[in-house]
Amino acid sequence: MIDAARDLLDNYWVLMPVKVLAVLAIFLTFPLVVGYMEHKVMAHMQARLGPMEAGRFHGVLQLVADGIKFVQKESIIPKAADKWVFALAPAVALIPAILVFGFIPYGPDLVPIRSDVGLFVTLALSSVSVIGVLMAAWSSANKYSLMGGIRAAAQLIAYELPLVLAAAAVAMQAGSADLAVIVERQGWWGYIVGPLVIGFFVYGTAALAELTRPPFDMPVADSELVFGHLTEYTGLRFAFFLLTEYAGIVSQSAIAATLFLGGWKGPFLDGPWWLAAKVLALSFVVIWARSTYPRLREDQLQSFAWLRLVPVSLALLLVVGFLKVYEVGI
Amino acid sequence: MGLVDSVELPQPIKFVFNWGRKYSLWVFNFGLACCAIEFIATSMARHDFIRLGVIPFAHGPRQADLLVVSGTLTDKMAPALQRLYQEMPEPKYVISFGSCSNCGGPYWDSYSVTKGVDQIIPVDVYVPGCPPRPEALLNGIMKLQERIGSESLHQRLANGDRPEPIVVGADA
Amino acid sequence: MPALKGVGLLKGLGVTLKTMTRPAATRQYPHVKPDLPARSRGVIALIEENCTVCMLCARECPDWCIYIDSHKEQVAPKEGGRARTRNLLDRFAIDFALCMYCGICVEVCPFDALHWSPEFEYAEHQIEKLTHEMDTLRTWAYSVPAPDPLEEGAIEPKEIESARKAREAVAAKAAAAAEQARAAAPPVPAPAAAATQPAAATTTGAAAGTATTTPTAAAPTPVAGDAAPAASAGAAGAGTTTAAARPADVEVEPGIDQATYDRLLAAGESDRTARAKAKAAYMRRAKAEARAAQAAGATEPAPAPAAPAEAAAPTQVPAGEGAPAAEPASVETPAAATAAPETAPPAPSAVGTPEGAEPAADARDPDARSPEGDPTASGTAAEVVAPGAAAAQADAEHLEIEVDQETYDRLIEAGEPERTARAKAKAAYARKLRAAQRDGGGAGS
Repeated sequence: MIDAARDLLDNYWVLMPVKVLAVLAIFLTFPLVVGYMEHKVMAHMQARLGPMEAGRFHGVLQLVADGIKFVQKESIIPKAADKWVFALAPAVALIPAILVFGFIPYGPDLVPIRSDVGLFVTLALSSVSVIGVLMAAWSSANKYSLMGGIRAAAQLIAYELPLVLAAAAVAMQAGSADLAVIVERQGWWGYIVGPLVIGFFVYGTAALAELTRPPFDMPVADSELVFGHLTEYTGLRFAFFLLTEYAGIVSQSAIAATLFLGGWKGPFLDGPWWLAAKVLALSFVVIWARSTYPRLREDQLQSFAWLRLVPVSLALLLVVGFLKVYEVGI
Repeated sequence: MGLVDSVELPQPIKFVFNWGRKYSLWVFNFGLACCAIEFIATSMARHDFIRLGVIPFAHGPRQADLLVVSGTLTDKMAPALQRLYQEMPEPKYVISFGSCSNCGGPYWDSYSVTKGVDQIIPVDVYVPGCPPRPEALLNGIMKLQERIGSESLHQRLANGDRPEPIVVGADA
Repeated sequence: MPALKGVGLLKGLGVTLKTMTRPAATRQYPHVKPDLPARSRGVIALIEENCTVCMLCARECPDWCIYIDSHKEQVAPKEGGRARTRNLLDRFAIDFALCMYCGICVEVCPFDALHWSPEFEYAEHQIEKLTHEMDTLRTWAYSVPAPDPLEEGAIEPKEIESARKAREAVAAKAAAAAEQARAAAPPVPAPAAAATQPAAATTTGAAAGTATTTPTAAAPTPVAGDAAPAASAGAAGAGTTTAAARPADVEVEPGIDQATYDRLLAAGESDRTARAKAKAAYMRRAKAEARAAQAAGATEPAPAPAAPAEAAAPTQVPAGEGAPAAEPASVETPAAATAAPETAPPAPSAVGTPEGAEPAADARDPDARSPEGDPTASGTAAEVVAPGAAAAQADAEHLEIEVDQETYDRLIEAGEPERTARAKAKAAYARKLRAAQRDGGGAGS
């Protein structure tokens, strides 16, 4: 019976939809969990309670209510806007965010899409969303949108470099760019024990900036730019951007966990739950940083990337290379 | 506007939709005077209206569902308020917070003050007070939620929206 | 010393994490009602019985948001008097959409008809519904809280003080009368029993007739006790004596003092004036006689049974609202009995006296009031006097401020923090000391 099912699953036309559905399910649940967590964690860090009424028990259905609301909202396209680009932008931002989930190894044999260059595919995909942001910014025909979009582009270009360099250091250490292999070559303690801990911090900071999360949320700085590239978006399209943001948190946390924290490996029983736990822990840190730090200034942001993170990550690459050549450590 | 309000929806779907709107009121604070401080107090830790699903994350009118006009609206400011209201996507709700925005309040005889925001935009709930205490705003929000919970989006938008017309001296 | 760079960032994370683990400061309003202090400016409540349509509030209102309609009415003349007119309130409405909650109307109301109620839950969907009429304003009056209790050792408000003194005087008189009665009774046991019987009946009658009013009569503080303690021995006794002492003034056959009348006519007064003055003179004399007779022969219970009904009548308020009416009655009566024999109690307008306006809600909602409410009025007087002797020895020049141990202990027991208790106790001590000095100085000079 089980064999029969396994045989059936080997069929591409059966397996593929299953994989797609599984990835979609992950994509739709985890961002919601993280969104709810953000509400609650932020509230308690500010001595508040956060949502309490929606869904009766501690507002667990708050984001569901938000979703239902967004479905009903009027979808406004400004008269001066470039209609097609305006309408397409959320999709351009959202689809790569979904695809990233396909490349993450969830368990020993649970890799929806396995690729030799999985690491770089995921990084590339997660930076595609900047194109969606730029499209939104340009097509809105709104000066605040445009400024926000340009800030976002500058920021993503600046932080892409340290992000990729830190990831490259991991790839060098593991000797592979295949995410599944990278996980397998780590102990359950991951690469965070060792010189790559610096890489973890560089990667974490850069990822935070990539996500345009506070304290690096200049592109949507509400006191300066209304809502950046999102200023003109309403209803479902806005909800898609929002979903992209939370999916981004989850996927960046998942990649960070895979690269530095041993992915699905854990001290007791290996499996997807370890990855889930690590993802939630990292998401918590993202929220924690949000509720702790005020927004940086735009020039501080840029100088921090180019003058601090890039040199540090380059040096890290060198160090890891030396260690690798002289076979010190692992 | 869209699909959901072009026809009268069947009851269960309507219930779910109303429930969604009820607990997801992204609020935009049009703070004009001292009442805005009370609004802010309501959003802070002690009263925390996020509990009720009133979320102050709406950076601009495009993302807002609920407009809270808190303070003295002058004739000079009125066009800005009207434009802001028109920028909000349907279905949208308005709470008039405090005496000034209800009907001019202490400035009822002033040459420059609009005698109530309901002169330029439709208002769903009037919260009395000068300024009202934060709990009064919460009470107004709950009144609005009651109304949302039992309303029909189709009717609301078909009738050109809006609460019953004001009849002066109706029950005096 | 500047620490390592970046330590501040970690500190910040520590602060937020620490805050997260602590309980939130949020009050969950719809589920937990706010505990609002007395005098919160929630809504303006109207006790319409107190309103004389003087229009002061409407005229002083900066927003002109008070609407008053009224008409005049002829009151049937009393025997020998002429018809009076009085204002009757038809409409009293406040437009809370317009109101700026300045409280000037509450301040200026000379008859305490307007009060602040802490209610705030009256948001509306239509603006015209924010204009609230008399009936709604009246219902808010029930939620008007008792005023904050006076501070430890504060000077008693005049009206409460006079009421208390009058009550004490009446009680003393009653005690004396009872003593006399007991002295007179022993020789004839049977009639004595008969005599005490009606007295008991009087007690019950008074208790029943003025059920709602008794508590307030017993304790003229704004904080009225409930009926149970009032029915207990002392209070009930006071109540009956009050009732019994009063009718002596009332129960007099009207008549004309012929001698006065003739004299005045001869002096050239008009017939009407002469008749009125003569009647007044007659009444004065007759009442004085009646009172004297009562004081002498308190054993005779005859007038007593009639008394409670008589006494209860003016205190009954049209709305059935006992509390506001009760106090004026209790204040008025002893005053009439002791000080000014001629003063006939101003009949139903007694409701308007300041004491009468003490929030009616108290009687209905005994829980709402603070537990310290009671002792302040009745207790403080005693407390102020008691330390007088000790304080008199204290040098007038430099006041040694010490801690009033009694107050301190009480406050600590009440759960006040140590610092507050000490501060309040000190204040109480200082106040007592000063009061004692004042008293001493007043007596000496």
